[in-house]
Amino acid sequence: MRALVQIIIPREGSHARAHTLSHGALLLYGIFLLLVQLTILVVSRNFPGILGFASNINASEIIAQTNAERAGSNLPSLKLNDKLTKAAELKANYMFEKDFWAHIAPDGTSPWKFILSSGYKYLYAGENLAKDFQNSGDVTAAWMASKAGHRENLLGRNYTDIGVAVVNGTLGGFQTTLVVQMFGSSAAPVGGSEVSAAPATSKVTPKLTAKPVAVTEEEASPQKGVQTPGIAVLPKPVSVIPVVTMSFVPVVDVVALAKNISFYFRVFLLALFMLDSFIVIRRGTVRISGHNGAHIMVLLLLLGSTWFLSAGAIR
Amino acid sequence: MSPKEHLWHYLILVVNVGLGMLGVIVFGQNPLLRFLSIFGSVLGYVAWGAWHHFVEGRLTWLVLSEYLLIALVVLASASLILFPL
Repeated sequence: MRALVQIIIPREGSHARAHTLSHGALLLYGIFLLLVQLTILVVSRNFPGILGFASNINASEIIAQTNAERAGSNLPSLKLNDKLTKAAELKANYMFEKDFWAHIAPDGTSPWKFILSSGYKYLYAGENLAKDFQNSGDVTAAWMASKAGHRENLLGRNYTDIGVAVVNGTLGGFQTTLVVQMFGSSAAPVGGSEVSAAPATSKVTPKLTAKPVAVTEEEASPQKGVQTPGIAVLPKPVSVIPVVTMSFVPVVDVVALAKNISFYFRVFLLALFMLDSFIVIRRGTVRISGHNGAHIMVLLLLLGSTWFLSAGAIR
Repeated sequence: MSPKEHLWHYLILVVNVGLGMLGVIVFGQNPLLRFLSIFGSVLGYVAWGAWHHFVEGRLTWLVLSEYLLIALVVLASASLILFPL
């Protein structure tokens, strides 16, 4: 016990820092963190079934949560539509294929093209996007808290159908989970076959094979001669993240593992510097070294940033 | 160094750290830009340490290496969160 105290607390009468804050120890911490990252990289590449990217996002949960929010606002439930689900999958795959994350693709492809090419002729349509979330509840909560039109989509009175895709893949060189939520309504029963049972989770492999069917402008006019197409509703940043379903679930979620190691390590280091500051002030130790206040501040920067680093994004 | 000078020095460091955090929030969609924000702020922290200790007349290689080593730890930790794969 005494030996442990001597490692953590600077020795009485000494001007040096405790062993745990010595230059050698700091160098070891840096090397340790780099080695952890290297190990994660090597293991996840060679044994993806053990250590890989995982999220607990589930299309069925998102649909259930959406309908629960609607029920809370006295709105009718949305029915799962296989054509909208297909459209959401196509959009998710297209984003991975073209490496973008937006409602409108860089080549100008709008979400409505995917809806129409899947065979769903809409009067009203909407799209919500999300990425980098770890669970379904957070995705729905972020959309509900949004003031950019996502909430309006979730609680849209004009919608009757829904389709959600959850797809894992690599976007911008980083593994992520995309969630695409498509809303729609059609005047005549020309939409996809409605499924009243619990929606099946879409199985979309990260590798994209399906290409969206090209739709001409003429074809894109839904229900010509029957009714003028209604308003296509997009949130202000118009994009709904498709739900991505992983083809396998690794034993250990690498993102959570990396975040936990990094987080607890920073807390440990912060605690050491705070303890050192307390002891130095109490003993009145004069020491020629860096300022603990500055070190604590930069560690707090990283600790505070973790909150934002771990949050997902919506469009 | 007077307490007032100390206060100014630390205020600059607070602004530097604040800008780093702002960058992390603003570049929420891009892990590379997020990392660069943290990198810039950490670089500012090392520069601040060198400048502050130089003004104090206490800048030594040992002091500077302490800032550099902590910068290494912070950047390695940020990299672990931002680029786990």
